[in-house]
Amino acid sequence: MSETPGTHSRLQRLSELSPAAALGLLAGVLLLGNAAVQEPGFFIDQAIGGLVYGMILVMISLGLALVLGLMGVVNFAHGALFMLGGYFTYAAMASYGLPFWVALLIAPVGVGVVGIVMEVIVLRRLYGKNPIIGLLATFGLTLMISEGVRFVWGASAVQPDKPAFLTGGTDLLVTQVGTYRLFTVVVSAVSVAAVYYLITNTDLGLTVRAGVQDGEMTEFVGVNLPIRFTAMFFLGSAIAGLGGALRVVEQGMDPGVGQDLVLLAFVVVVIGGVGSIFGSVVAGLLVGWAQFLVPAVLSALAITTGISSIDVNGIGVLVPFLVMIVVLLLRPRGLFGEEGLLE
Amino acid sequence: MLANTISSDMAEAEDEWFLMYSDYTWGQTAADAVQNSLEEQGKTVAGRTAVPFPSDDYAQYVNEAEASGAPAIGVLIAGLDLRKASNQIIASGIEDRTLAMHQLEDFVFWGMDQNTASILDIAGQVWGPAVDGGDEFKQRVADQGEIDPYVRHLLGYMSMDQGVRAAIRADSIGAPAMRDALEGHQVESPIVEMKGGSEMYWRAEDHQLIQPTYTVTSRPVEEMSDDPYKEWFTTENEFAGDDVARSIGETGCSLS
Repeated sequence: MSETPGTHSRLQRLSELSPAAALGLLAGVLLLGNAAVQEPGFFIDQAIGGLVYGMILVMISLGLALVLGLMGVVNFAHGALFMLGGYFTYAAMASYGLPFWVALLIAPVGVGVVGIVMEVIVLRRLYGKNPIIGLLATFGLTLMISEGVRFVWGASAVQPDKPAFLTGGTDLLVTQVGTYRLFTVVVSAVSVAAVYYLITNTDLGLTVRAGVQDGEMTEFVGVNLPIRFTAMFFLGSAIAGLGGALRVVEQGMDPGVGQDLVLLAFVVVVIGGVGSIFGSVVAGLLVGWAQFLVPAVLSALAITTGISSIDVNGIGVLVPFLVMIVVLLLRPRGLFGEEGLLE
Repeated sequence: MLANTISSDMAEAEDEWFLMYSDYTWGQTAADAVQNSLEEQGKTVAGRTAVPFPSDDYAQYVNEAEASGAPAIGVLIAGLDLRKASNQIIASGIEDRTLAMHQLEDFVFWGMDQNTASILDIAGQVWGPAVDGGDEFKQRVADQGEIDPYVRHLLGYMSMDQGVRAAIRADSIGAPAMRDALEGHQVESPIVEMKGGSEMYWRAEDHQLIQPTYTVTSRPVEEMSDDPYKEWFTTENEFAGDDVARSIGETGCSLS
């Protein structure tokens, strides 16, 4: 279940820290303070960069969290759908000459339709079964999509032209951030809000949540669950496609991109707690900040102590996994995970 | 070879550099070689950062480069990651700094818009469409492959060319016999003309192909050409292989 009335109580439980956790938090604050004092400009750059990157992670993880949390499907093909969104956008802009805004609309819908086909032909048969079957099935779909993309567009990377007004950087007074990255943040924020509203305040969201809890009873009261599950899978796929559409214009896309990012998306979902969209948002931001600020903290600590070996080069890539290990040790279901999901 | 190729142009361009390199064997080797070469020429390396390879986001490393205050950034990163790094350097607003790239494959920049691709000041290449030679080869790749020629096409052709000729000389397709046929061999096939005509040979002691290398720079956007194939860079300097290859002692190679 995504959000329940228990969310606030879970937040409250999170705030009831053990002495050891409180000590850890204090140490963290001191280290951050040291970094802010030692290299203020770099610290601010990294803090803002981490926020932006975190929101990009949220965008990538959102569809995965939706499908995993609401439908219990470990959708390994999420990365492939993300990649497909990028290629659809490229095709719309470069091959058909469509404007960026149109491509941004068409590509997610196209990916959503692919998601519907996947759900109807493959995944619908796997609901209620061991999640490992769904994982293997979606892994197979990933390979099919990747090879399909390779067949149509080749193995080389593609990147359509960025709209002129989204090129370059935006001056935020304390630092400069790529305008396109800020645009991605805005789209992510709007997507999160829309999905949250859909899940918690609409008939569709409520009936799907009810169906996950007790499908038989939900159908008994006249709800057509299969079509709702399909709609939800369309939504999750379309969000993955939107993420890919945003990404291809910024960084380009190649057939391997999806597989790299889906691992990070899984890390975010696990940290946030399977089933919690709110948790995925928090985890995305947490991972983004941690990935950017840990190097800054270590660099500052190396300056303070004079021990240069503390400043471990390239540690950023390890950080998401370290955060996941720490969170799972303290909270095995993730920050906002609920008992029962995938257990 | 490419580290030594670009470092002389880097030293000429700026006195202080920040190095961003792939956290991988060749990236570390390149960073060490470039740093040593710059320092030998009296220049300073203000900082260096290892970047996971591949990486999906370069913003934090670009921040480090910016924070170093160095007026120039050496990007010792290969393949498509070079494109991501370049995109984020531009987005961070520090594209006015001198940018050097160690191992440029033209294809990496072709996916970008031309304005972005025009930021490159110095890059090292073992070959590219800007090299003066191999016009027929470039044209055939463009016509028959329906793709713009770049370094990997030539390297693929060169590997096959040298392998087949070694097998013919050795009258064998056995690895030891072919290796013997390559050791110390002076290359005389058409590949020499494709690479501009300078000397090429297989160094006996470590089996490295000693060959000419090049530094290139971005053309201004209005001079970038897409027909009959893409040519977005201009060759600045050509280096004889013997001048830029590390000595056997430096490589640490031993075949004994």
